[in-house]
Amino acid sequence: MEKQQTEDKKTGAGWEPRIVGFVCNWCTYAGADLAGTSRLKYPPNVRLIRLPCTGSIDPLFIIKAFQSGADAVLVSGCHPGDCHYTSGNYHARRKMTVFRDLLEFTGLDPKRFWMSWISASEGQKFATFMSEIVSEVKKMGPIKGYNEV
Amino acid sequence: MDIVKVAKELISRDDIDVVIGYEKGRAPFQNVPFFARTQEDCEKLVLNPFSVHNLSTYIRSFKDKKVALFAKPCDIKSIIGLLQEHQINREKVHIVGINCRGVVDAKKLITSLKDKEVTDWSVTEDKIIIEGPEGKEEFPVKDFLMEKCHSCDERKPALCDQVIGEEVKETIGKDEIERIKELEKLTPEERQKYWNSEFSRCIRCYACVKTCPLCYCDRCFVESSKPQWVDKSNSLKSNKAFHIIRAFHLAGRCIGCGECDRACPMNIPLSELNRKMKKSVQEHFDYTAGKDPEVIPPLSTFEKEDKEQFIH
Repeated sequence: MEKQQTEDKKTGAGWEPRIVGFVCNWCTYAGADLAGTSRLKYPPNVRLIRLPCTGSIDPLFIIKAFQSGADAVLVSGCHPGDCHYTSGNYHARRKMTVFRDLLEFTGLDPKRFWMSWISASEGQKFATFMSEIVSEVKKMGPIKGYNEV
Repeated sequence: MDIVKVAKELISRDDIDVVIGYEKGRAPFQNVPFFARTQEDCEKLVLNPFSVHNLSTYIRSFKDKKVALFAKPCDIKSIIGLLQEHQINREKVHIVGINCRGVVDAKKLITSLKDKEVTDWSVTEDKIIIEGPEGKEEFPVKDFLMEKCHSCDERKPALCDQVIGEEVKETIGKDEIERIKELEKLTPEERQKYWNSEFSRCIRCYACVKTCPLCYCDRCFVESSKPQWVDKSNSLKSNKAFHIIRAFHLAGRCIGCGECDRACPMNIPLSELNRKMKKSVQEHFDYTAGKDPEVIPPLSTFEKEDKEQFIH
């Protein structure tokens, strides 16, 4: 009975997408915090991982997230020009542009990899964007083929 | 083109400590790298369509010495890559550039011979001569060239201190990204199936890592155990992570020497991943690796106006 319930949660009727978000401390994480203090409602499926800057995100983390069972991964940071460390987000932009192509080439649906610029004052944008991601990922279904041993 | 004479002249110079070239191999249809340190050593050097190894992988291991090496135009591109990343000193390398007509794909030739017994082999500029119990047989070199030679567009050395061989004007003209475009036309599920079947064969011998001139990190991400990013087993899951991240680390740096493909004992088409990255980098940043030693590699820099269509 319990095993069936766990199975349902993974792929069946009870499935909820599990989304990992690598976000920068100074902008997006603060924006998420603002969404919280403003009591804005959005689905609870995203697990945020706070980093100093999107520039410090190694694509290794993203692969690790997918292989650990994430149905989608989000990367979000400061708007270009506003990086707390001046140019980290510019480097992240280049890296992720190329990495996204590689993920797609090796068989991942590119709609499972999201990237955005959300600043500390954009609490509403954060909440709306999370709702958008969750509804899109629900349509795609659980991820297949990336976390099989 | 007397390379023994060229090598002897180089080794007699006070400042050059070693000449890296090729000698006849014991395994059929390929030469092996050879490090000549004396005049006598130089006698063993050969240069012919069996000289397939990319010798630039060895430059870094000769830290304080001045090295002379024989480099094909593709090998020189990896030297340019190493110079861009400040891994070698230009003054410490004497490059003997080779005007190249292509090199032989030993695996392809061996497969086509099937179980035929071979006792000796040799090669001229355009013929491969195989000796067996039934006598001699000849094959044209151009029928057994490496895949990369078919799409080579630069048959003369871009950067060198001296040149040997006659200038080669003609190219075969195959498009190296034709195969990549084929793969891009598949659905994500088909591509996943394709790569799963390739990666599941990987035995994690790391021959691809050892042979690649630009895979020089003393501590590779795959060796890390605290934290362990990729586990050490050769399960499909960890093979996938290893190859995808390695391909990403080589994005904008790989010059397509094809040594990874050649070294792989399981015949995994690794260069397809690297060629995809090459295409990606060319499209997004208008950059091709291995051309200019002064330019900063694309993923180490940025432009304020970089495109960001997929970013919300």
